Amino acid sequence: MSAEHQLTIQSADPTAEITVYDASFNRVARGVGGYRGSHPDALYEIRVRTAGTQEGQLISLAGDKTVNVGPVAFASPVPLTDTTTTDPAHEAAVLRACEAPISVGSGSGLLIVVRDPSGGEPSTRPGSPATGLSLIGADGTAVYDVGKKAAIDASGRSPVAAILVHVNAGVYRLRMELPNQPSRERSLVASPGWTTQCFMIRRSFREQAAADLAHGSLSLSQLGRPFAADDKRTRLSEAASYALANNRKVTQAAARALMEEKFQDPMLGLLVGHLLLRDTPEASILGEVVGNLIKLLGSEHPDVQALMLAASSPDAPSSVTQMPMLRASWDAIVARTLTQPSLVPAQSPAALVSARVLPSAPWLTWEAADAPTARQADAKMAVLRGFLNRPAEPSLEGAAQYRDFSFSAPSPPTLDTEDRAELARSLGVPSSVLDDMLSKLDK
Amino acid sequence: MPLPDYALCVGINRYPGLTPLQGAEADAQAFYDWVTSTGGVSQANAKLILSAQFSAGAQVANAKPASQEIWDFFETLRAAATANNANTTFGLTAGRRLYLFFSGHGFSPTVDASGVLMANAERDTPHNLSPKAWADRFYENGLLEEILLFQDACREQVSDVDVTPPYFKKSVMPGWRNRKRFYAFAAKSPLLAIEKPIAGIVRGVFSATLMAGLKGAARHPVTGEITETQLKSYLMANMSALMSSVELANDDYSQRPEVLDLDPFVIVPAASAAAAGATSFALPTSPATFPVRVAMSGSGAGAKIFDGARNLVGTSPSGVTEWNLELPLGFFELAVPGQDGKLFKVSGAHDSTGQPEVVHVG
Repeated sequence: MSAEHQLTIQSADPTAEITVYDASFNRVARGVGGYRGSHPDALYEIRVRTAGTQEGQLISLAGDKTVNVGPVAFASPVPLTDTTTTDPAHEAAVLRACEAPISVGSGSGLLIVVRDPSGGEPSTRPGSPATGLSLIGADGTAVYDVGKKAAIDASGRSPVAAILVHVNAGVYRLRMELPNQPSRERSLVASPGWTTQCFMIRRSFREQAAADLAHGSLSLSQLGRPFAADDKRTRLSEAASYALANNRKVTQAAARALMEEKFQDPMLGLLVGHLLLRDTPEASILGEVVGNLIKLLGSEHPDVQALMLAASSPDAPSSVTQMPMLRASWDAIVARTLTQPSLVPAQSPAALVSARVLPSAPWLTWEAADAPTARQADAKMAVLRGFLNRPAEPSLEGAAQYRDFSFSAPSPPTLDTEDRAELARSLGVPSSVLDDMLSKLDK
Repeated sequence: MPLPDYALCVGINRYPGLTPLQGAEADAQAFYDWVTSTGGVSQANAKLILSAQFSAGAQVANAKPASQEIWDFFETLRAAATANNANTTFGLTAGRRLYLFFSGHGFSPTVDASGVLMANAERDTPHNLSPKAWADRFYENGLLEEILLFQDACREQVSDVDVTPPYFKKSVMPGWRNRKRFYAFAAKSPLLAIEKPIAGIVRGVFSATLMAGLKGAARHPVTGEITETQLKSYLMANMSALMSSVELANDDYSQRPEVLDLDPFVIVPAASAAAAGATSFALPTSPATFPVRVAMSGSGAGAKIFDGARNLVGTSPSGVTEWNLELPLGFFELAVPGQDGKLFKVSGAHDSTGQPEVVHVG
């Protein structure tokens, strides 16, 4: 029998998923952020995965061994160092934007960056990467035309558009308007003393190239602090948002990383809060995470409000009027409306678009309320009809049956609590919108 | 009596409201043939649903299979579970293993979700079913102990269509530790899965690779078993072998599947894998060894290769600048006197001509 040796793996990425395979390609060990265990004297393969990118290396375990794994070079909308999409020209363009902010208010910042993908062939796409993009208030008023006014830098292999707008604290929306397509929007919350940094990639959508609202990156940095390509907190947030959107189980490691950062990164805090709710909702640290977020971002922040509701915080709000940034936050709000239908008040900015939520992750996107060709509500109706065509549940033997001889108009299809929760979650609509959809089925 | 295994194989070529496919039915038929023979599922417990089984003249809205035909099968599982609960000691469990195979048009609203379009789908009414959501629901409910899902469909990003949720209610049943899942998708979001003539028949590239693997090519040369790791490794290494250089150059086409090997388990036992027989196309069925080419520096005298368990598997001939040998799947170490050892892997990959890829060392 061969000797056993101690294998220690230390990853530069705290949330890296580590898997060890033996020479028969069987998985023999797993860890997140690091691993320690004993294995027979043999050859092994270590695979390390961060934010969807996996790297591997073979090792010979002939004695106790420590393997230090460097940061995995994943693809990111942010020109971070140690990623496959790092780009000095893009980094410089973002820094220039940070040095010359546009002021339409004060106290908060919104950094908006749209990049053409770096690497490969030089980009030949015409126009600004931010074409069609504008910043609007939650009430729909125009704040800044990013597509037309953001500085474009084309000195690198691909162009980048970047702008820092100083604004009053509040909830804003990024709107994408393209010809012959419904306008789409997402939330950008400007918190007092913070700059919300939104990075997106320009992609092709049905023969048109536009910023991908649903798959960008969001991070928060203290107001006045310039963008830092080597910011490990932003890198951590990237990994955490990937984990949230892709159901990766790195929650404990992400929570540890947040604690090591003394809870000072609010975006990481929001992401860890949702990861905890998903994987270990009973964890005592959840309350601490939410408490720190209230201190850092305030209890008016819709994503913080969503976590307060989901964590049953005693100070949870009685109403949510604005759309949050994260889809997971919206899901938490929607779930609460099943028992608290008035949570999203009618005619509030959130209520007006809540029937048009798109199935995106990790960020919440929706078709704009005034989009002339909006059809999202019809698509949701089709899904609802499909669900309601299901076979009838087998009746329980001996169960009482009601007899109804009245001639009243047919009532909307009835759904039990579980059905309503399933539909609200899948469609991303609050209870009141679901009721409205059900009533339309009869018409 | 042990719990039975079940299989649902769905192939949809005919979409009156969309462009038709040519290979989806052949894919489903091939999987059905395998699962009811080597796979060990009795024909009574296996359902093959093809669009060709239904009327060709139907209007889009009435085209089949629609969700209803799939749900009918799921209802048989529910009925079996109910019967087991009443009449046996198994509890509310329908069977041991469920195979779900879907081939047709597909889409992906988010990276973690995907749907297969039913025959009655149109662009504005994208009737769909999410095999992964159903597989997850069966897993959560403990309706079966092992769920294997294979989905040969595009995962084009269509961000304005929600997937239809499963209507079985969620219930968290005990026994999580014993349950196992293996999901394999032809493409990860937002890539396209392709079909093409393979050995004279239009097939999905993913399905053709899958069948070659299940019929024995993915088995471990020593144990003879196809485990979740073996099948994943085989699919990841070999799907691109059935694609042309032009197809490989298209960034929108999926070259590697997305595989979620969530739990360790044996998918095909050794005896079954060995008896499966050959596929009719280029991928080999039982690769015992693969070519390795070692570039020798200096005289190369005394160079040795050891396998993953440190067993000596080869000694270089003297006076050669290139040492050619055949090795099985696994990890190896090249030891040359006076030099650091070099580690290398024989993954079992094939090139685009279907020939085993040469592993270059040194």
